[in-house]
Amino acid sequence: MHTPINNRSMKLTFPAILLIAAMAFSLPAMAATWQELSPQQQQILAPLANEWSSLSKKRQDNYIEIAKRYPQLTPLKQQRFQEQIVTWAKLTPEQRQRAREKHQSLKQLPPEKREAAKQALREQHARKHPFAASAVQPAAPAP
Amino acid sequence: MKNNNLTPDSIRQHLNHSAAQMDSDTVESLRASRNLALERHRALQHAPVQAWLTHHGLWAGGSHSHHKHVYLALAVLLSLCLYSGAVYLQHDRDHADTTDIELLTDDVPVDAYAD
Repeated sequence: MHTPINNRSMKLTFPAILLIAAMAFSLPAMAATWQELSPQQQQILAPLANEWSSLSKKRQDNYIEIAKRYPQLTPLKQQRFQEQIVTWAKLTPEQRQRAREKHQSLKQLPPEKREAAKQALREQHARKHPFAASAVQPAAPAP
Repeated sequence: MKNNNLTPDSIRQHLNHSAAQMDSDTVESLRASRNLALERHRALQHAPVQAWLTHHGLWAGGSHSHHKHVYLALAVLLSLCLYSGAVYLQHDRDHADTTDIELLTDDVPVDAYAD
């Protein structure tokens, strides 16, 4: 026999479990404000500070994840990152998307063709920006 | 029993007559069964999920502990669905992360890719 208390508690238990589960999975979906980033993340992502609030939550998550991975990068890649993110911050969302797509398409190429394509991009870039210092550190030559 | 001229009224009379002749134990047993059936019917009306499960043969009625198990199973199922969604989103995010971090650590200027 069901007592009224048991029936009521069971009716409350199920929605409560659903609510807790939904909250548990929705917590990561909340966008972070710039102030909520750690000082280290703010330092790594500093060039993006001005546009942070206008970024989509997905993009914010991307950059936070990148900032988390940053300490594991080699010193050379950290240096490249610091240089590249300054330029990256100046690009429009459309330019960034184009860059992602072109980078992805180059990744599909075999290594020798990929390197040739990258060299062509470097040369094309140097012609377009003759006064731009070659800030990006090239890979160390193979011994 | 002659049943050539059965009408609702005659059936009711037969039933009343037969019921009056039943012994008290049988009457009590029937009354208890009726009350149990009514109680289950009321419970199903107030628990649409259970009613749906009963209708589809996934629930045969049961004790309070059975209710708990079904609710728990449904909660676990929903949690698994939510978890699968979260894993999918995480996978999608990881893919984008890889692209961005590769771009930003590449030895080709990022604006060269954007030109």
